Amino acid sequence: MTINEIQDALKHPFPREDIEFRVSRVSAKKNKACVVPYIQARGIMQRLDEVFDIAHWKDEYEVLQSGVKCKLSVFLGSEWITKEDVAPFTNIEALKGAFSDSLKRAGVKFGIGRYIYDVQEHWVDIFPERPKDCMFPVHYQSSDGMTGWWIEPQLPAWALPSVKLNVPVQYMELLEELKHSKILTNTKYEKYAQALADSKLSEIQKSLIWEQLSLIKAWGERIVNNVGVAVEVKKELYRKIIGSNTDSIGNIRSELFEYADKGAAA
Amino acid sequence: MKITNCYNLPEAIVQAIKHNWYSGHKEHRFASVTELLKPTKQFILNKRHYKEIVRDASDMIWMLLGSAIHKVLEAAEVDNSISEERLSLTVEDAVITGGFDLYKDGIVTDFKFTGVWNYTCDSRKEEWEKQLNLYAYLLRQHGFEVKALQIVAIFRDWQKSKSISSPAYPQQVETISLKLWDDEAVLNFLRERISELRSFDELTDDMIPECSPSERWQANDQYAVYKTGANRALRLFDSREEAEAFRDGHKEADQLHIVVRSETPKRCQDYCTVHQFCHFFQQQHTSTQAG
Repeated sequence: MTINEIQDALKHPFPREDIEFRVSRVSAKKNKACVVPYIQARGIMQRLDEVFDIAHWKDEYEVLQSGVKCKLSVFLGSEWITKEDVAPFTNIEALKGAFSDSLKRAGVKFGIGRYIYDVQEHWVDIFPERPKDCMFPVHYQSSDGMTGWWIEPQLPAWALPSVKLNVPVQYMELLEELKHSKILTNTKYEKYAQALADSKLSEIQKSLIWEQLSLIKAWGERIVNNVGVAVEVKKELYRKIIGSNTDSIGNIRSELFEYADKGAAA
Repeated sequence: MKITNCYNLPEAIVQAIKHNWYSGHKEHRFASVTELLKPTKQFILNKRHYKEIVRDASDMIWMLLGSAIHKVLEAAEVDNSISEERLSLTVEDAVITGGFDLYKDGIVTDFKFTGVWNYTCDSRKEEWEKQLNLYAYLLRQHGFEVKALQIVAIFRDWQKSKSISSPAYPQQVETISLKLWDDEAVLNFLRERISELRSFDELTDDMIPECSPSERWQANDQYAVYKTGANRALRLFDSREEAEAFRDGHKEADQLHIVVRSETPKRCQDYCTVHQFCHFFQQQHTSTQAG
């Protein structure tokens, strides 16, 4: 594998079953819990085995005063590369927890599961009785200020491996650009990723979404902060892009660049 | 939202302001009628940053006085009238709520504490017309007939001396009739507004276009053409294109330059609770401070 392929393989989202959630806080009325996802330590080990094989990665630990430091090394090309991170002792099984957490944190430095930090926190309902017929795992908790059942939320499409495989690379790259340049919100990014991953979507529909995304990018880069373009025109152009169809998108593109050039000249 | 008391107002007033504010902000809704009429950027930023907003009680005194008159009217219980009721309806899966001041004999009335300037310039009439038509629609959807809409404006800066000397000056309290829309017009307005708010909610804070000059309560920019060294402008234009055409066609074109005259955005400065999250205000504020 090339370095880029290794990086991609390390960053690849984990299957749903390797992700767990934990309660981070509870609402004042104790009827909702805020849950955050995390990857189990064995998922990290499994990923390292898959990418480097068992002989080409190693972990070393050092117990510190209030936590554990993990040195994670992988054999890349012809040398060992090491990255390290520390984790504090946990509330339950303090030492074991800190070992696992420090491995996860060192793994993140290699890109393993880094995407999980982009998954927004979810508020879920706390039920007094066990909910029935749930699609996702159900948990009972009677600690940290809550007592009751809660259902694991759904992960966004982009954080699941199937979507990554179904969405053409160039579409995902454009979507990622829109996310990283802070044009689209995470919610909208997820909606687009889900739409593009839909196998029922025709090639024409996919190409329209692609056109819309590239125009949203141009709008964000050349129109929205262009002082030479009136506010109402900015809004109208955006509304036109998201409401466009295959017939109208070409004209909208011309209109957008015309305004961008005029505005820049002003 | 957190309410502070930086000017050490009496505790009773601060408590009244807090009670008055929080009591109306617990219902489950997409938007209230008044929220729906706020500029798009203000609406979305308010929703996103509500918990981070800090307002001082001293900025909310007029709001408290406005609510006080509503309470007095409610207590008076005019015969066959309904006052201070909150109604709701769902349009495009969005719950819209509204609380009108008074409904009597088919007339919807809203009381406004406002400045004389707003009355003489009709600057808020369009917004009031939308607001009352939304109340009228809510009432009709709940089985009430609406025949007319009116604003009762109580001027907080009214001066008796001016009312004597100027015939155009209003009385201390004026009644303003507003045009009544049909259901289709209200529904179209509601659908468009909800769609607009939802579509711009897909963008990050800084990507949501700034409010328009009229939404910022700011006159449009003017373009003044000056001769180098002169204190007074030769001509004023509403657009840069016109100013440039004038300059380019002038026999002394090489000695002329254009200066953009911008008014301070009054709403951003003094009446917008989310200006700290607004890229436009922050840019303006920084450039004003730097300049």
